[in-house]
Amino acid sequence: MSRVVEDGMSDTGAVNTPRSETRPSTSWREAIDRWYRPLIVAESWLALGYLAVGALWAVAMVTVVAVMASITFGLVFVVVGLFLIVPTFALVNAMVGVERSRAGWVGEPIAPRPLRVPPDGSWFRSIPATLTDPERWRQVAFIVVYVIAAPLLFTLALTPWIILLGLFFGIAFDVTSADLVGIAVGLALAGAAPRITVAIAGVTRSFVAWFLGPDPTSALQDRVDELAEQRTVILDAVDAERRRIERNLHDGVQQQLVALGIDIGRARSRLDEDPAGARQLLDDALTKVRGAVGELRVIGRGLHPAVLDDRGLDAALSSIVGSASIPISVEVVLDTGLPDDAAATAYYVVNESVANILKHANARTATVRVGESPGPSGARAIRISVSDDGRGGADAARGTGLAGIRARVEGADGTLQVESPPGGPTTLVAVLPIQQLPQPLPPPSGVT
Amino acid sequence: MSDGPVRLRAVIADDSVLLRDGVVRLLQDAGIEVVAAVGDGDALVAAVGATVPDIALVDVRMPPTHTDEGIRAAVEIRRSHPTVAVLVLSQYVEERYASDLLSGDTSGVGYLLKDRVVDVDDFVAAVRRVAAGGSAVDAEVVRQLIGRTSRELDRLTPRELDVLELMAEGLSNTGIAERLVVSLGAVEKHISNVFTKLGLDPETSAHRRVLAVLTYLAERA
Repeated sequence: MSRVVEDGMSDTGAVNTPRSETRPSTSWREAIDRWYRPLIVAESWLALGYLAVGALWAVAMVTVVAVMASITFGLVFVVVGLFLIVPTFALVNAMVGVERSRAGWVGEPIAPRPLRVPPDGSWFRSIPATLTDPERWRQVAFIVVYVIAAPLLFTLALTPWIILLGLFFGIAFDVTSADLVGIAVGLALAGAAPRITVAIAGVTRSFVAWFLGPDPTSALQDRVDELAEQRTVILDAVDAERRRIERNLHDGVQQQLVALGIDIGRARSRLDEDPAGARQLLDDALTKVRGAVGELRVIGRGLHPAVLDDRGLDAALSSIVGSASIPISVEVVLDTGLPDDAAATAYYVVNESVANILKHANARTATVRVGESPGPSGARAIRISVSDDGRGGADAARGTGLAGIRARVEGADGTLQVESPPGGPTTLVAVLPIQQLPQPLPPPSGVT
Repeated sequence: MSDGPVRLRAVIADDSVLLRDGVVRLLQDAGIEVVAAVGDGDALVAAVGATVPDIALVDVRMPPTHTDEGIRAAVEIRRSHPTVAVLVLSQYVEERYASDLLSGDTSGVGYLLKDRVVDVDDFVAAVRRVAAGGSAVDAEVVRQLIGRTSRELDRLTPRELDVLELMAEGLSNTGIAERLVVSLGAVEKHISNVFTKLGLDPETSAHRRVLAVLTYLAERA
């Protein structure tokens, strides 16, 4: 019996079965904890502050605009006012810029919406461009609307708090039985008020973002332009690559085979009268066969290495540096395997970089590193760095090798940085985002 | 080997050292004197000017641009040294190159696929033929031209088509008879049929015949 009483005292309203005696109490506590938690979370008070400062800042902005506008208009007739038009709009731009970055209090800061006509520094020549830029007037319109909206929104957010305070002071000093309803409402409201504040702050931020943030359509348009340009670059790169392969085949292997044919033809025609000479020619022919086979192997490996499919990037990169004439270290540290296209791009980047180093850099040693790297928006990305101690001075504008690497990397939405001061050392860093969803490749016929 | 009274003198231009050496040896085996072997078009024109050989063997693609340097050098040589025969060797058949080269007098002009070098005896024969003022057009070029004009050529018998191809390649009646293993009389009969069916004037000189046939094919193409 005493045990039950004890339990009953520690657990409000607990049922008397030992199994379930602690469970409801925990969930009650959790529920209460959850309901009132927003009261002590900085986010809520930051949201309230965001709205309060927003209301004040709106009034400040509209005041500045009004003052500047009247001064400008007043002085237009003595010409001086003309010189104030551009600075006034610049000030507007700066002020709404503050409002944009303030959005960081309750979420991500808002990216700027590009002006149609960027300022060019001259206060006089920019007047027509400034006055006709709809984006400038959009900013002014924002200030005018915001000076009404911001105080309203703030008031709206403040209302539950005021009711709460009213209840608190009304009840604290004179409690009657009728106040039980008030207490209940107050207890509920104490949890609801911060939530309402956060919600209104979110709405406000969205409103500001709609007015001042980048136009989603234009962002898409930019992306389309970017992709179209990348496509052109890729097609050019594919074309250059095909030409290179064609030349390697024609000028390399085919010439060797023809030379080989000459040897055999000559050997055949002197087989009877000069067997020793014929044997010598056939030996030469064998040497040329080996050369041609070796060259074909190199060309094939440059196209797509079988080892990449069979044994992965690490092994494929090792085979690149294994045949190099200088010592090159390879380090591949990846959490998981790569999609085929990413592995192929990484391979291509390293293969071309190493070929460049061997051809131009006059280096004694080089290092290849492939590792994980956080991408621009937190997505997975890999970082490929190839550095050498050669003479430097590599320039993507001149070397076709580097241009090819750049095209390939940017085609995969990656970025390429090359640091190569004259005298060296040279470091090439490519960051490739890893597509989580495999992108279907266009059919090969689209390329031709 | 064949130290006849006229020992042919040749200049070779090819940027592939391997192939150039091979052709030089091949020609030397055949008793042709190689007076210069160079690697690009400018050097070729200079070498021809300096040595005035009987024939220049020219690779189409050479430095610096690896496009049609050889053709341009060949045209230049035809203009500045009309007595020097030119045999152009190409990696692949490019009709435009062929027509650039063969659009004038085809005497002492040849256009062959590089692979033909492998058939040593035929190749040497072609070199000698062109050097002697004849012509040599690659069977592949002829076949492409014939392929594009097939409708007009429907009236020819298969054997007459063979004869037409070999004529266009620059072979003489005797050469055609040897290649097809038929009698000279039979060849002459086929040729006369071909010319009658195509409405061309029968020509006696082999290289003028080549021109007539090529012009016919090109016009119908």
